[in-house]
Parts: sequence; structure tokens; C-alpha cells
Amino acid sequence: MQARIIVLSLLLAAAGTSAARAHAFLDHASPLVGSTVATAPHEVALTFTQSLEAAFSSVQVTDAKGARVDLGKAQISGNTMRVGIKAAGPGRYQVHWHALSVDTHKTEGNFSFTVGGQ
Amino acid sequence: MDDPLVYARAVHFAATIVTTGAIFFSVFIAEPAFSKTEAGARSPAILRALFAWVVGIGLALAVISGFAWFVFVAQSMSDSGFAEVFSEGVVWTVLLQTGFGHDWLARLVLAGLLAAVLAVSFQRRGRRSLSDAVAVVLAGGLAGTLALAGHAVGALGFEGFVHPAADFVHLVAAAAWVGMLLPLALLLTAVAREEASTVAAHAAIWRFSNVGLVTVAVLLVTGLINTLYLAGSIAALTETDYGRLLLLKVALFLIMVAIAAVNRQVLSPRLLPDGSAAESRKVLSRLRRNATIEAGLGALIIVIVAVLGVTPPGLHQQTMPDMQHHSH
Repeated sequence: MQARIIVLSLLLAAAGTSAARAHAFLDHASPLVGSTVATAPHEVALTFTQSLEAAFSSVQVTDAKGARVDLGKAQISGNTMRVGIKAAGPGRYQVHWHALSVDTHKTEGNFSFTVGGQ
Repeated sequence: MDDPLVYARAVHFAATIVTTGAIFFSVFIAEPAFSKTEAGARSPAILRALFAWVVGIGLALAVISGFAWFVFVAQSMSDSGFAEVFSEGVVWTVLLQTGFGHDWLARLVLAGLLAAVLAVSFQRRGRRSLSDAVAVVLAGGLAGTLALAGHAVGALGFEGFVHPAADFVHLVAAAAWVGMLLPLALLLTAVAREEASTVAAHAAIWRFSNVGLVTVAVLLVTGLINTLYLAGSIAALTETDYGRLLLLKVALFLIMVAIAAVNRQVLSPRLLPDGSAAESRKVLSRLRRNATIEAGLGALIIVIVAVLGVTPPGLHQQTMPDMQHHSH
């Protein structure tokens, strides 16, 4: 009986501590989602809750006018996705990501960050 | 339910489970029981041929539905139509560069090897313990690797190992129990017409009952682990589509367990070695009816599983952050 309780508690503990759930969602980003940064970043880095399929995941960064400022193909490894940014001035930037989890399910999302200049 | 992937998944799960279950049944239940038939009994030969047909058709359906599943997933991954998936090489990208593709390649190899081993062992009479063991391992692998094409994969850290492992074992156990019901019903039908096979039928019933007891325990434990990861809160179970479907699945499973308990506790003990032939026929007929009902409930569970695979799991549907969505 005691052994059963121990096993059950271990299972519950394992379930409770895992932040990752099925399907890949954005866990955190750099620059931070919705943040204002002093200088323009050299890259945007996204960390997801699940491992990604590199062949079918992508990210685009656009400026306030809608022009692309990312350097194209993102580097994807495990649950992270990073893309370089062209030299960019102050303003608001939009990040649109498209993720395919290794469980074959797709997710997508948007966020913005602001580069303060003055 | 307008997603054609659901139908491909349902057929593929059913075909895989029936194929694996028929192989398990043949090796662990039927052949040991056949050794108890009296000389001149015809049902072993009839049943061997029937099981070979079940496995052959099951394997063929598994390959066809597996191909359909693969094409639907490739379309969804690449946001392209049926023709583009082939003309633009998407199938190769999916097959060679994604975890799902690698799993499907491995499963195709397993299915091919299984067909080869079965073809050889079917031709060769006499001792076949080695080919039986290989067939059991390949068939178990074919069912278990379905875990790597679903919600169990993708997590990081501890869950990334435990969840797929639990789901692998869950699928092998499901194939062992649900997949054995059809061959069991076939066996009970065949022996009902033949006095010389009654003792063999009793042996098969008890062996199946013991295997069933173990698989139900394994299904409960591994099912609990899956549930904790995918819908591990009361709200996730009661307030999301995923959770409600899962509860329905558990309810159907419990009805199957209740029928199995009646079979084991009430019906099977009435099969006495020195009992009357009339009583034995009556009990075997009831057991056959119950096996058919259980197989029907198992089929309903498989349909639910097919839908669950394309439904966002309850826990994350609840915790899904703003500004991002599931776009499947």
C-alpha cells in the first residue's frame, strides 16, 4: 500500500513539475514579448515549450511599415528558433512565428517589441 | 470530424491493433490451447487459416491507411494540396527530415519484416518458436511505435522520455487485449461446432482471461500517466473537448472491464472438465457474445482515440497563452 502511494506521488510530482504540454507554444523570447529595448537587437530568439521540426518552422520580423528586417532562414535547434536582424532603427517591430511541433501539430503567434531610439 | 485525418487514424489504429492482437492470440493463446484438442479435431486447421487471413488483411489495411495518414500530415505540415505534396517533394522532406517521417519509415520496415517472417513461418510446419518470438516482437513494435506519432512526443526533459515510453506500453497492451477479442470470438465460434475441441476452448478462455488481467492493469497505469500529462486537472477533464472525450473513453473501458470481470468470475468457473456438454455450450456461447460486445466497445474506443489525436489536449487548451493559437 505504501509503495503504491509513493509511486502515485512520484507520478503526480512528475506531472506537476513539467511545464511542457503537447503542442509547441512560445515559452519566452528575446527581446521579451511586448518589451522596449534601448538598442536594436542583432537577432530574435524564441524558446518553445516543445521540440520543433526545423523543416516546417519559421519566423518573420517586420518593421512598422511591414518590411521584413530578418535575415531569412531561422536557425532551429531543439525547442529554440533564432533569426538574425538587419541593422534597424527605432520603432515598433512585429514578430510572426510559425511552429511545427515534433508531435505533428502546428501553432502560430505574433508579438511585438519596440526599439527606443531617442 | 470533417478532418479526413480522423478516418485514416481510426482505420490505421484498428488495423494495427487487430494485426498485432491476432499474432499475440495465435502465439500465446491459440497454439497452446490447440495442443489440447483431441485427435481428429478440425477447428485448429480452420482457425490457423482464419488467423492468417485476419493478419494479412490487417497488415494490408494498416499499410494503406498509414499511407493516407502520412499524406494528410504532409499536406497539413506544408499547407499544400494533395498534388503539390508529391510534385514538390514534400513527401521526401517529411519522410527524411521530421520525427513523424522517421517513425513512419521505421514502422514501414517493421510491417515489411513482419510480413516476411509470417510468410516464412506459415509455409514451414513443425517447430516455429523462433519465428513466433520474432513475429511477437515485430508486431508489438508495430503497435507501440504509434506512440511516436502523437501527443506523447515533443516534451522536454523527464516528460520527453516517460510520456512516449508509457504510451508505447499502453498501445502494446491495448493491442494485446482489444486486438485479441476478434480472434477469441472466431475461436469460440469454431469450437462451438466441435465436441473434440471443448477442452481446448476451456484452456483458451482461461489463458485469455489471465492475459486480460495483466493488460488491464498495464492499461490503467500507463493510461493514468498519459492523462496526467495531457489532461491532468479536473477542469481539463470536464471543461475541454479533449477531457470529455477522454472521460467517455474511460467509461467505455470500464464497461469492458466489467464484462471481463463477469466472464472471469461468473461464466468461466462454470466450464468444468467433467461438466455436461450442454452447460459448456451455453457458457461458451455467452462468452462469445460478450467477446463480440467487448470488441464493439473496443472499436468505439479506437474511434475516440482517432479524434483525440487531432484535438488539442485539455491541459494546454486551458493554459494556452494569448496571441498564439493551435492552427492544425
